Amino acid sequence: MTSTASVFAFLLRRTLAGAVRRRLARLREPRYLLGGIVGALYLYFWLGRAVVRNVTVLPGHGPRLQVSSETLALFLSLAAAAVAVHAALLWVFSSGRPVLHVSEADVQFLAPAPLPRRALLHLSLVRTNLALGFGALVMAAFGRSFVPHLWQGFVAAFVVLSTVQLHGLGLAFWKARQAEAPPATRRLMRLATVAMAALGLAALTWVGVGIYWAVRIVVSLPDAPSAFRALPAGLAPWASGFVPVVLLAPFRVLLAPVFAPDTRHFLVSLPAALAVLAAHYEWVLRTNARFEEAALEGARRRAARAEKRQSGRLHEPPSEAQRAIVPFVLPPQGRPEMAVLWKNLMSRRRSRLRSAAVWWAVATGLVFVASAAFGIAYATVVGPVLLLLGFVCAVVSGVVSLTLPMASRNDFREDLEKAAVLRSWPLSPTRLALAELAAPFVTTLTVAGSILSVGVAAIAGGRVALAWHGLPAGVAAGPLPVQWIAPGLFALVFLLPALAAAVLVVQNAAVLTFPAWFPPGGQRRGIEATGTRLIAFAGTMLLLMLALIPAVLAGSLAAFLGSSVLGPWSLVPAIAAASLPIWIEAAAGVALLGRLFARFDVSAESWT
Amino acid sequence: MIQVESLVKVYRDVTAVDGLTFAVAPGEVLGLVGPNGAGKTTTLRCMAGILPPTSGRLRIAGFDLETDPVEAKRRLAFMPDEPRLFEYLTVADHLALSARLYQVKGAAEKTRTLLEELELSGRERAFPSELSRGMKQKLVIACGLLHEPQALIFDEPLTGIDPIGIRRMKQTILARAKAGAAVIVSSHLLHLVEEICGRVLILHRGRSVLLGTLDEVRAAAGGGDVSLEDVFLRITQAAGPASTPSE
Repeated sequence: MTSTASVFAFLLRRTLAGAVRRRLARLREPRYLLGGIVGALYLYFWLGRAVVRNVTVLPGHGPRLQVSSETLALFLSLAAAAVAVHAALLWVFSSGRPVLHVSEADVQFLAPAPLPRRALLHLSLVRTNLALGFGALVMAAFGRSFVPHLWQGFVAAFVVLSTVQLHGLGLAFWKARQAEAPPATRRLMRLATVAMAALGLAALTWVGVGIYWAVRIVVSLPDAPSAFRALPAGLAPWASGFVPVVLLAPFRVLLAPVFAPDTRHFLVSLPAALAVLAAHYEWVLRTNARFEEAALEGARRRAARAEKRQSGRLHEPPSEAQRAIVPFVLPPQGRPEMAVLWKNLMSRRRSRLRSAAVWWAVATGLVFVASAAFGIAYATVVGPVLLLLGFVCAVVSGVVSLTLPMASRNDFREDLEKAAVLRSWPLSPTRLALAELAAPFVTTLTVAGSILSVGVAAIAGGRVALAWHGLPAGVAAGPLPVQWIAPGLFALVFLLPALAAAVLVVQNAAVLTFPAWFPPGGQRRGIEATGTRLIAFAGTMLLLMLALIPAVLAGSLAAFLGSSVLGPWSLVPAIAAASLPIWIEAAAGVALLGRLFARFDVSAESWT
Repeated sequence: MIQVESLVKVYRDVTAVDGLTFAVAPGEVLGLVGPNGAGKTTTLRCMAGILPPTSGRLRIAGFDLETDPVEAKRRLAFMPDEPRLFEYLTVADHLALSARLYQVKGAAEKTRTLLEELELSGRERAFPSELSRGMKQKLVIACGLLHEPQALIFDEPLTGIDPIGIRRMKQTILARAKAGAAVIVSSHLLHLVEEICGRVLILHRGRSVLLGTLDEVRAAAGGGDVSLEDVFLRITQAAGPASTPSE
């Protein structure tokens, strides 16, 4: 082993050992031990079992989901276009300040040490690629249904992620040299940037044309299922044009292993993808003038980020014009909980709720008018389109109601860092808990409600168009009748807020109960943070499923009683009845959060 | 009025505060001094309702912190040694937040007065990241004084403040006491304690070593024309080094 490699191995080994020792020490507390066991079991069932099965499975077994080669080719071209647009954006907008993934201690110890000057670069690459390796494993596990083997998905994803990362780094080094290059070289560099921008634009245009083709195919066929079946063949000429075959060729080469239908195709396509990766590595090495500066810059940024995290200053201050903007006017008299909501809303961005409401009204009105105009122009397809739109709105608003409360951390998850300040406020713990949950709840309702209202406005516009043509409202579309869309969307108005409240309660309870596992403050990065987020997600889903059992029972009973009288509209009372138990559980959860906060001992936490 | 009776705070196997009893009358300024690890900050944090005491009773203006915490906190202001501010709120936002939390009447006028008194006028739109440490400390104090509390607790109030600010701060503390507030000032700056405090409580290893007026403290330490610093050193050195790992 060379001295550089042995130094890296030592650093990584000791870092890992230190992290493991710290975590093992925490397991002396029963709650963390329990959390650790649950986390380990979850990781095994989610990832480990898939890996074990992949190792023991006989080669040649095909993927579980059979996708036609035409569809795979289509996906490959679209993915290539996405990567091309990403690359073009990097070329046009990246700052040209290369940054290596090293700490100040790395620079202090390794830069003056008798090691090759590329040592810091390689240390940074090793660290980055370890993280990318984990990311690739996660992606492969999630995409397990589309690839024959887990290892195949892992290798393919890793090659793509690593190449994209090296491309960004190489580009940053290359741009950093622009300032020192002679005028003729600088002109050439600018020309290359223009060419990349043109390539990105071409890829975007090509995708736009594809969407237009797809819409034309869909509207030209009588029903939605046959339209979707006809899409791959109908889009084949578009997918085999000049842009995807010639302009996007390098990107297709890189992505080909990801979309290989079987192991043979994967092995055939892999060498070319590895060659692209190797070329990027060579590119980074050849622009070797800035390693030291990049290491210093990286270390400085990491230290600044750590300092910001410690002091709670994670974002740059808003502009002078934005400083006067508040979500709503907060008079000194009134419920103190509103002050916490007001404060937490500003932790994300400074915007007026009234302006947001105006924008929402305008957008909803525009959707209504556009839908009516579309329905008048294409009366025969308005049914399937409305069904699709209603379904998409319902699904997206549902996903938003579940995921946004997890992603928005402007509640206890952020404020618990200042638990001492919150404790000194004259608010009972339960009222404080309610106030803390308010901001992400309002945000989720605003976003999910906007999406739902888009769906409702579109359906209302469609109904107007159908009335214009003298057609009945309940035009059948595929296996589902259109008359279920409007009641379904209205029913979600009752269900989604309850779900969002339940998710918020679970997420905040996790932070209050296991602050070491789900640390308060800004979103952490890294393998451990990813793992804990996954555990939090799984725990939330599990608890939600348990919470939904009484909801399903209540909803089923209401649906049974109301379906014969109300028809499709029986969905509304059924879902309203289903949401009632969730609200009761959420209210009990808020009381529990209050008790957890009252027992949360700031000093005790710092002693762990 | 602040009343502390038999306060005990135990962190796992370490007793940070051990049976502390004292009271601060309206209009009085009590100085809380002690070496590092004596239990000063823990005591103050218990009194502010931030840390739950292991045992003992705490009353603020007659309201028990355990049984009636909201009413007690409404009459209390705690100014910690390390200013903890919300990085996304401006100076004006912090004061608006405090005004609403404490239901302050005539908040606009009081805000303007406090901003001037604490030399924060003109910085209303500044974010904490744009303020010096001393300015942040002043902002925390402004937020604490806005609701005109009957009990004031200052933990190292002069840290990071310039000489003019120090003079102003002393005037501010004395003015609040003169207006009838019970004030506790914890500080390592013994000359400050000597200057503004009517009584002194010396803590060591979580216990009260001496409590009384400056003259009483001097007399208990052997008498003579000695400074509080001399008294402090004599008492704490005689009692041995502090052993608790935290204040």
